[in-house]
Amino acid sequence: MSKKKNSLLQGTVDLLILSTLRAEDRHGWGIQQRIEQIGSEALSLKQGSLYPALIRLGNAGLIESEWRTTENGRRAKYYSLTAAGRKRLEIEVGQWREFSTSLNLLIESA
Amino acid sequence: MTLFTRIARLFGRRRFEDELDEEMRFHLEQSIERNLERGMSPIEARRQAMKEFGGIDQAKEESRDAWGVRLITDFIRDLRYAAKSLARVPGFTLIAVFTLSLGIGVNAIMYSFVRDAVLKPLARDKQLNLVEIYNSRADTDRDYRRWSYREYENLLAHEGLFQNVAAQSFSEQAVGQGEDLQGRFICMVSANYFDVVGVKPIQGRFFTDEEAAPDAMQPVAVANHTFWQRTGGGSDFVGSTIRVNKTEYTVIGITPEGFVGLNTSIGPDVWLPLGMNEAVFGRSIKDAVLYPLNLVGSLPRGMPLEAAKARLASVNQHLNDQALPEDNGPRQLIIAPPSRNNLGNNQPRDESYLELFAILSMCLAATVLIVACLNLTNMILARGTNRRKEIAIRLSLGASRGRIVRQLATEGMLLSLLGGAVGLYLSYWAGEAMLAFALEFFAASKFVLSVQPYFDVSIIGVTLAFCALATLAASLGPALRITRPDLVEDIKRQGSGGGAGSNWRRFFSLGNSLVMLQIALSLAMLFAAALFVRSANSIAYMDQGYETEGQVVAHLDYGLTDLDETGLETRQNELLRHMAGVSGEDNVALSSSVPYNFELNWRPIYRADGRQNATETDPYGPKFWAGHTAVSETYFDTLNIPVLRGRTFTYAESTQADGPKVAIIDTQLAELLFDDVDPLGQYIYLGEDAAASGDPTHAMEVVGIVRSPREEIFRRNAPERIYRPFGQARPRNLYLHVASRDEIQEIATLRRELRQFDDATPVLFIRPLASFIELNINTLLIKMAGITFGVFGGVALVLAIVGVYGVKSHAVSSRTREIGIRMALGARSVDVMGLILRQGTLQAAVGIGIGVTLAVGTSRILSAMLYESSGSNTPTLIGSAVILLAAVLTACWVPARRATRVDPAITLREE
Repeated sequence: MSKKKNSLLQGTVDLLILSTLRAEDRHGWGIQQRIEQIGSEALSLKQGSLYPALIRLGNAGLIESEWRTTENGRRAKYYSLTAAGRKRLEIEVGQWREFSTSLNLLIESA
Repeated sequence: MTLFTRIARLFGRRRFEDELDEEMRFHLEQSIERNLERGMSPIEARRQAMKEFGGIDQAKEESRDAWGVRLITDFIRDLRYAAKSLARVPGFTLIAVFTLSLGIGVNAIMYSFVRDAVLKPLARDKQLNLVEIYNSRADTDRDYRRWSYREYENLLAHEGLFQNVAAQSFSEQAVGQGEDLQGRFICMVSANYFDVVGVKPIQGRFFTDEEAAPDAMQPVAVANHTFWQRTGGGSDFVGSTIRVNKTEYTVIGITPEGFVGLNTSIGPDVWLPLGMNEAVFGRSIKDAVLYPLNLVGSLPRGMPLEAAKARLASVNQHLNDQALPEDNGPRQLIIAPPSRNNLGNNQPRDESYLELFAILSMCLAATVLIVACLNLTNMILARGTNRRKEIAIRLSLGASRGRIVRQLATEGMLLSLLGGAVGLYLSYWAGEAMLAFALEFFAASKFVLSVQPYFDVSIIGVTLAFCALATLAASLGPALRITRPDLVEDIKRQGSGGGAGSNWRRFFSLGNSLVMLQIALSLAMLFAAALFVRSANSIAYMDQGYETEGQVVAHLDYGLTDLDETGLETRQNELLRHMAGVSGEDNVALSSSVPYNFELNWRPIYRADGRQNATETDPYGPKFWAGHTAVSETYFDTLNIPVLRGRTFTYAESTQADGPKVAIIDTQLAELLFDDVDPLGQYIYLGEDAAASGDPTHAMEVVGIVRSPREEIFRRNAPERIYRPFGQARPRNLYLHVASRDEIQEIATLRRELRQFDDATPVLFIRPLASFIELNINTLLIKMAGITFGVFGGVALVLAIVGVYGVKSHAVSSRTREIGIRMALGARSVDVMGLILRQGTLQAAVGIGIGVTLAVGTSRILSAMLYESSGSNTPTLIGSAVILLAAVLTACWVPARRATRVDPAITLREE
């Protein structure tokens, strides 16, 4: 895998993960479920690559984790957005909207 | 990055792995559960979940990589934070780095000694499986001798035990010419020598079989690296010529730096091929009854020494079968690990003490490092008490305890690394200084000093290990303690100690006891250092039994000239007359040996009428040993040696080979020989041959009695001596003594006059007579010991002061509340200061008390080693104690002053 493609993919995955955490804290499986619910087949990826991405986001200080008990009594690691994470998400989403708007305009006016 | 990641993973890896495992398991179980709900079979549900998840191992691996990066960024952040917080307290940082650099520096230099003196040679001997091969009379361990070339060939031919055997023979020869002529050690070797000891030339090549073959007479030489450097280190050195005695040798190769043969310290200037034996010694190496060789053999790889010894008998048999009657047989082969200080020993010496010495000195050095670390611990604790607020804030902001401990440890590591770097530099600098000192000595001696490169991978590695040790010892403990959750309890407990019992315990707490011990040790060491230095100084002033001031000696070797006996006699007499004309009759003399030059020729002496008392072991009567020196008639006047009775030699006795046989002996020999009669006018035999002949014409008349000059420092008494007229011995190797007022000027004058007298005068050196004492190895040992103890004592003193400072600072900061209360209740600054100083003074007193006891004990032990210095040692001891006390009080005073600045209002509000 080339580095460029990797980083593009990584950026997308990171954005996806951050947005799933906007409304509530989730564990890894929950994040996966959410992406599956809202996403199309095109966005589906190997579930395993979620975890390195979570650690990276944690390293960058965008999310934090905590062990909690799920509603059916299991122990799971829950992830939540930090203040920095929330800010980053806003910026990224804003950028993404701008980008897609211009892209839409470009495609429709062509 | 992967390397760093791997290192980073060492920390907290287990926990990370467990959590990742649990997280992924949870994920998969949820996934399987969902698939089951969708109506899949259990096997199908599992297969599908796994498929969607992708490679578990790959996901884990990627997670680990991401995690490793995190640790490194954390580490870099910690490092930056540590640097910043250390920069805020430059005083603390300076003292801490200095303390650690002393501890680590001492260890680094000690390691470098051990490496060069023990580890490297041991590794080499082990790798090549080398042994030295000696021979003694069969079934005894005496009557050792070296080997003949014939025996060496026999040993080589016997293919029973040794893989290879090399031969070498050490001797002192005249190296160089003209102004540069010097008596130096050289070594003649067989062609396979360098192969056997495992070295390769750094330039040129070593000897070929043809060059080393007996009587090959190919004048080629291999030069020592140090010798090459001493002659300027030119790139055209290989191919140039060196003169040894009367022959010019072409340099064909240079040995690597630090190689001096199997020795670790001293070695020869040049190696010559055995084929040149006749040019050097005047006899062919094939001479069947010439025994000049030392042998070194290599055993088969991996064969233990004991196994080899068991197989010696057959080799021995082989040698004895071919022995000549002259071989003094039957002989016995003895093998031993190579000596580290061998310049032609013919018998094995036990050098296992070297390893013990190495271990002991490393332990000593390690103690210094541990003490340095413990002192630092106190300082860090003292500082930690002040930092508790900072740490408490970080803890409350959610940092884990592990994270803070890691951060404090990073700070410790930064300190250790700084200390290590400074320490390594200090040790290098100290090593260079000592080397310069040693080189100065060896330039005037006959050997080359082995100079090993100081820095190598191992010393860097060892220093890093010391840094790691220091980090652990000095920072991990305090870090754990400072971040301890029951911190408040800790403060309370320390602050409220008021009862007499707890005061007592506080006085002898671990920190305080350590400090007292340090005070004691540093006092003892400083005292020992002072003793050595005083002893070394007093050597210069001690009564040697001859005049040492204004005396200059020229070493002449007429063996380098082609003069025959008559020519030699004429030339030497003319020389003496010429010099007498320049410097005055009574100021010039010739002799065959110089005191303190390790060359006294010990000869057996018998009474001419001794046969009446003959026994079985002494058929010529009682035998006495005396150091023999041939001297000209002006010798005693020139060196100002008192002739107590009788007379000195006459001019005729001194200059003629066939003059009347006379001798001058010293009082001690006179007493031994003639306890019943007046020694003057009595007759003696010099040497066993003369005594055996019983011929009265070989007997010598005792014409004078002198007081014997000293010969070495450690012997309390001068040796028994006998002097003979110079002309009757007529040595080719001799010393020209000149007495003058100004030694330095006299050296120049003497050099000029000798050239003027005869351009071909074979001058090996011109030196002040006193330099033989100053540069005597025993004098140097005492000086070295003085320096070593001085350095260690100084280091110990600094450490003790840092220790006192650390302990007192810690005490003051943890008693801030108590002091605040005392001041609120009306205690004045003076009282508070007294509180801290009183305890410090008492502790210093206890430490000094123990130290004085130790010092007195040390001086008892050392008195055997030291020249008894005049006067009492008490002033030295009191002086050292006062200096130490002053230093300790200063170290207490700084924190005590801080204590007086405690503002009760602030302190009490803080609680």
